[in-house]
Amino acid sequence: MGDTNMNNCEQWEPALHDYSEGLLPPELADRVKAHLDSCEGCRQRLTEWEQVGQLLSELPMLPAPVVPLQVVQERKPLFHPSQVAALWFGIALPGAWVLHQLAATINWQVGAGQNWFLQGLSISPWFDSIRHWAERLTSYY
Amino acid sequence: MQEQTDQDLVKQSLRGSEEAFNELVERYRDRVFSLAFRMLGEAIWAEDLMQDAFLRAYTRLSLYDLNRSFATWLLNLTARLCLNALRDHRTQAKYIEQVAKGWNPELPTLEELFYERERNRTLHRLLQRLPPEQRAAVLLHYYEGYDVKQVAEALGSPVGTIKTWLYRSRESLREWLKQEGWGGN
Repeated sequence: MGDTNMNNCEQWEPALHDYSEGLLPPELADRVKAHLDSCEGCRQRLTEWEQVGQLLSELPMLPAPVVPLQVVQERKPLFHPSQVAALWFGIALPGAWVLHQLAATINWQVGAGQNWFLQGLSISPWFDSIRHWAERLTSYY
Repeated sequence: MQEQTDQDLVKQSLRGSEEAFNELVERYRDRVFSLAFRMLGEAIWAEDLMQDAFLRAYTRLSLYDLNRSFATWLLNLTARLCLNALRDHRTQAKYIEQVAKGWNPELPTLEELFYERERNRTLHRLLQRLPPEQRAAVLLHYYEGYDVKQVAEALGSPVGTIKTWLYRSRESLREWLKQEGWGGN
């Protein structure tokens, strides 16, 4: 007499599922197969599960609406991701460096007591600061 | 003329070719839309999610590993977006409201547009009863043909959990189909 007891069959179910998916090691698969040979209920259950899997796999693919393709185009970011790094390193960082240098120069002007605000409209401190820049730049290398 | 591979198109797209990316969209939009529709249950929502999926793919294209399948990468991304959308109750409420109000009455329902067998419609409806994670696992495995390991990778869950989800889902669907009168056919 096979394992026709319902409680016993419920215990088999997870293994039966793995068996139907081909996920069991051979020795365990043999045990499940032996149970199936003797249990009509589990054979029926297995068939029904396989039908469910089959139905799911046969669900038709649905044609997507055509319009969204244009919408995707419109929603694309301004710059392509591959351009972002180039923009960052080519413009944003050098720009930040220039601003930083400008701020440092003004700071140096004030710190050195050459308060050019008090020197009328003379622009000579700007020439000094440019020279200072040049010195700093060249001293890096 | 030989058709370009997905990888070729991705490379071109990364170099800035919009045409190449459009070709990828053209190739996969039906699959992405179908998966989203099966996951979310509503065509309007699926349509928006499809746009999000392609937009996300575009902005993250540099993260795609060229040695792996582009379809799998894109569908994994879609499945995760669907799960996030289903977890976001506000988004869900918005779409349910839109559908209930007949948001775009000019847009025919999918059933009107594309004839589906009654059983497919029933199955589609029953799929929506499954918890989102189980639905995603079932669709990726049975509908998209992923193996269990691939599903686990896509959903970021252990293989054992995926096996349990698949087992429970298939059993639930079997029971529900039986209740709806489709059992044993």
